Amino acid sequence: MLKIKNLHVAIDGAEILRGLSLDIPAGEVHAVMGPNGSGKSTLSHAIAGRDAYEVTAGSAKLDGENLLALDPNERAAKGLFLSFQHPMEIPGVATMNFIRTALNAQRRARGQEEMSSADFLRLIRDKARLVGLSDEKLKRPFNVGFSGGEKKRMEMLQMAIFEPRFAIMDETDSGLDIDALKMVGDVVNALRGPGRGFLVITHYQRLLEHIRPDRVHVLAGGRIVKSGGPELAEELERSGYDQYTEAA
Amino acid sequence: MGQTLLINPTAMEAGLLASAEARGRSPAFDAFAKTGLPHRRLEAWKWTDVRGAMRAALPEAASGAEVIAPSSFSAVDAFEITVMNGAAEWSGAPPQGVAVELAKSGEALSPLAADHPLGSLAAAFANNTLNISITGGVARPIHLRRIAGAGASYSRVRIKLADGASATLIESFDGAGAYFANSLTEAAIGANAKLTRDILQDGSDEGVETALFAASLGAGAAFHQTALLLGGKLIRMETRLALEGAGASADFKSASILSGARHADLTTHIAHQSTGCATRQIHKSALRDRARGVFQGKFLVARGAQKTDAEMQAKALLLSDTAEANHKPELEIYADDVQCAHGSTAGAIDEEALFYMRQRGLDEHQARALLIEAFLADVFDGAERINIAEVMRQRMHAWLEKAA
Repeated sequence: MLKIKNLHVAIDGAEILRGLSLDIPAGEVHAVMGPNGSGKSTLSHAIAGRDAYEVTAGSAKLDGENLLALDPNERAAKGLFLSFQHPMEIPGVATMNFIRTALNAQRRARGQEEMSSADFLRLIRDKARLVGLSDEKLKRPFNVGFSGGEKKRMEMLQMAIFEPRFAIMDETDSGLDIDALKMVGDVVNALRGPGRGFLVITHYQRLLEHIRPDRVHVLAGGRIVKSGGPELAEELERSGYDQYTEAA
Repeated sequence: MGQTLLINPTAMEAGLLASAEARGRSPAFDAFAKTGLPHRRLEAWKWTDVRGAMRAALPEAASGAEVIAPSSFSAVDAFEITVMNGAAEWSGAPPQGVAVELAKSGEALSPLAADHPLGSLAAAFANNTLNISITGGVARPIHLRRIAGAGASYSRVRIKLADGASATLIESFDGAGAYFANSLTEAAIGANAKLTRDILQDGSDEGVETALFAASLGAGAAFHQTALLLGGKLIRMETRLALEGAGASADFKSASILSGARHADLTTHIAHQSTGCATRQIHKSALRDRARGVFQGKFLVARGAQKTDAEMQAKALLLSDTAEANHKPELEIYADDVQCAHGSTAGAIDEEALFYMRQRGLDEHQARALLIEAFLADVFDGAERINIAEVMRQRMHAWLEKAA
C-alpha cells in the first residue's frame, strides 16, 4: 500500500528527514513514535505535498503510484488523508459547504458522480454524531471558535466522510481527553479493514490503547531507528526516547 | 482664477477651459479651475492622479448616444433612472412617495461639495440637475443606472429625504471604451430618515470615472452604503458625510476586486458634528496582477461631538507581488469623550489554509477562490436587501472564476 523509500526532505535547505523508509501493507495500522523534532510532522506534510517541504531524494508510492509527482489535491483524490496536528480556523468559510465541495472535488477527480445535497446532509449528520459534533458546530464557519479537541473531532469527521484509502494521523491524540481518545479509536476501528491503511504519528502510547497497531516504528534524527510489534510502544512508554536520540 | 489651467494646462484641461468659455464661465467652473484636474501633488489625490490619467483631450460624449450595457440588477424590481452619458431618462411613474424632475442646473454647490474640484466640474458642466425627493417609507429601490460611452460626460443629482423618510438607492456605474464620467450627487437626509445606497461599479480598462456623493444627515438619520468596485483605468468613488444631527449614524461596507492594471479608489470623509453619532466602516480589497486599490478614510470629530462612536477597518489581500494597496485611515478628533478606532492591514493569501484545503481535495483555483470569498464575505452580509446583495455576490463569483 504505502511504500516510502529512502526519503530525504529539507525545509529551507535544512535536511529533516534523512533516508526514511517505511512499508505499510494494505489492511495494517502502523504507528510512528518519536521525540519532538525527530521529523514526524515533516513526514506527514511531505507525503501530503506541502510546498515548502522539499523532497531531495527517495520515493513515496501509494499502491505503486508515485505520490511525489502529484499535487496535494490529486493525492487526496487518490485516497490520501492527513489529519492535521494543528487544524486551522478558516473564517468566512461555511463548514458544510467546504466539506461538501471537497468531497465532490475528490469524487469528480475519481470519475464518480457528485453527491447530492440531501445525501450529503444525511451523511454529515450521521458522522457528526459519531465524532460528537453538534449541528450548531456544523453551521459555524470552519473551526472558528472551536477548542483544540473540537478541531480534532472535525478532522475525524472529515476522515469518516471521505473514507480515505490511506490516512496519516499527525498527533491526533494531542490535547484530547479520554472520551475524545476513545472516539478517535472508534472512528479508526470502524474504517479499519482490508484495502485501507493508517499511519498513526504520536508521542505517547495512550492512543495506541484504543487503536492497536500492527507495527510500531521509532523515528529519530530523520530516519526509522527501530521497528517492532505493539509491545515496542509500551517499552517506549517505560524507558523514553533518550536511547534513540543519543543514537541518532 | 483659473491660474493653474492657464499656466500649464494639459490638452484635456485646455479643452475644458475652451468648453467653459463657450458656455459662459460659472462660479462652479472657477472653483474647479483653482486646481484643474486633481493630480498626485495634491494630498487627497496622491494615489489617484486624474490629470495624469487623462492628458489627451477627450471630447464630450454625444448626448443621446445609445450605449448597450445589460443591467446587473435586472432581477431586482426597482424604479430605474438611466443616466447615459450624463443624460437622465426614466419611464413610468416613480414609486409612491418619490418625485423626480429635471431642472436647469446652476444651483450653488452644497457646502460639502464646494471645495471639491471634480464636484465643481460636474456642477459646471452638467446640462441639468436630476432632483429626487422622497417622503415616507419607500420600499421599491430607485436604481440610478449610470452608463458611460466614449467621451467625457457630467451629471448632477440632488436627493432630498424628508424627515422620517426611507429609501434604497442602487447606483450602478458601467462604461465602455475611453471615457471620463464625472458625477456629483448631493443629498440632504432629514431627521430620522434613512438612505441605503448600494453601489456596483465596473468600468472599462480605458475608462476614468469619478463620483462624489455628499450628504448631510439630520438628527437620528442613518446612511448605509455598500459598494463593490471592479475598477477601471482610474476610478474614484468618494463619499462625504456631515452627521449634523444628534444620534445620526453611518455604516459603510465596501470591496474592491481588481485585476490587470485596474485602479479603484474608495474615499470617504465623515464629519461627526453632533453628539452621539456612530460610524462603522469596513473596506476590503482583493488585488491581483498590477492592480492598485486605494482606500482613504477620514473621521472628523468636531468640538462638542461628544459620545461619538466610530470604527474603521481596511484590509487588503494581495494576490500578486505587483499588486498595490494604498491605505490612508485618518482620525481628526476635537472632542474628548469619544470612542474612535481604525485599523489597516495588508497580506497575502494564507498558505497554510490553502494547503489544508488542497489536502481535502480542492484544486488550487477552488481553494484560492474560497479563501478570497471568505475574506470578502462580510462586506455583503447585509441581511436586509437580500436580492441586491445577491447581485453583488454573483459579480464577485464571476470575478473569482477568472481571478482566483
